[in-house]
Amino acid sequence: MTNQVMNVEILRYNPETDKEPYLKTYQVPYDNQTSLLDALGYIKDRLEPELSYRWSCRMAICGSCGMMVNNIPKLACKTFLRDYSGHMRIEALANFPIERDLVVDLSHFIESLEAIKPYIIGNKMPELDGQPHESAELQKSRTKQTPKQLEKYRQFSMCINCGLCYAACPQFGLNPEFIGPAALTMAHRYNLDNRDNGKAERMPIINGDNGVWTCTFVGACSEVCPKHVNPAAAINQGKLESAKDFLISMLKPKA
Amino acid sequence: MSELTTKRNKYVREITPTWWKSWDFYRFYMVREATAIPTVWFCLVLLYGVFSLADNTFTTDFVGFMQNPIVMILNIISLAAMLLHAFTLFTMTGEVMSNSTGLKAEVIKKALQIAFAVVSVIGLILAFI
Repeated sequence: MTNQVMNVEILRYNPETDKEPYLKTYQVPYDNQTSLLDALGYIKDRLEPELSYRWSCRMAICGSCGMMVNNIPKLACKTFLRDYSGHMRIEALANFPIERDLVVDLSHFIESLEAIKPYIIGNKMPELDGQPHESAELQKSRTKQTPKQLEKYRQFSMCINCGLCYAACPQFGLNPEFIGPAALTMAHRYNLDNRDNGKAERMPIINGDNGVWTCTFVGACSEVCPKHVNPAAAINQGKLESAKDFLISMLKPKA
Repeated sequence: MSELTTKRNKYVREITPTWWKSWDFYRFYMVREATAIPTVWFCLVLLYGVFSLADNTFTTDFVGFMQNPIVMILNIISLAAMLLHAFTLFTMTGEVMSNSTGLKAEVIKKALQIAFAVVSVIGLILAFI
């Protein structure tokens, strides 16, 4: 399997000198274990020291190395050259502004994630007093979570914030203000958590102009997600919650 | 004197109206969305049917209109589009509802398909008796 050569075409962009990005091809030898991240390392070490790209863990958990491979968002570390025949086109993650080469500006995603408050709010768990107590008593005073309650949101909590879903989402491409798949999934994940009491703080964003109703269920987010989080499911369950929230607010007397 | 400068110069790629051609997944999405067009056609046909019932021209005009080969072809296209839309909707509903209902996506999909088949058969029986 050794000594095969892949033509790797990379979209290059230097913000100091280039008006717009351009494609440049590199020849990379590979075998059946070579990942795209290895290939980029080879290019940077041997062919193009200036090439910029983000990476860290090389095992699909840090979420740094998202990029477009033949127009489809992928993690470079989880993409193998053996699955492509002779040619690959690598571009920075779609729908995000390019900072340099394969590095994008993820600020909108990070800001959206902060906006939906992705943490447990108002957990009514009293402080432990440091004294031993009966387990029956502890169970009453602690905020319990049964396996069934965990299962409600567990899949949605697997997100690694890689941004592939944003790159796959045409609605985010068309509306850069869209809160987006991963952030809305996180909002839904915390709303589903029985220890959380912050739903009222998240609903205005979910209900808003750039919330769940921007989604048209293309479903590409779930297709590209490397952790099988299924953002499309979370967002569309979010639409149901949003509709319920609207109906309840209609029925409540105005203060 | 030192001045804080930045060399940042972000490049924003434009979305073209042909964005959906870049991936088969998007193409299929567009096909699914386009099933709305034959549905508009069939709604107009139904509307014409309702109006001709009111005018008492149902047997004279509407039946003849429905027997027109072009109308029949368009209606067959509408049926195919509607079936595509329905069956993909069942798959998507299964995916969305599986973790909140605790049922497997496949079970929800199958249940909806069976319900769809039963309702269709009842509809056909009612139409022909």
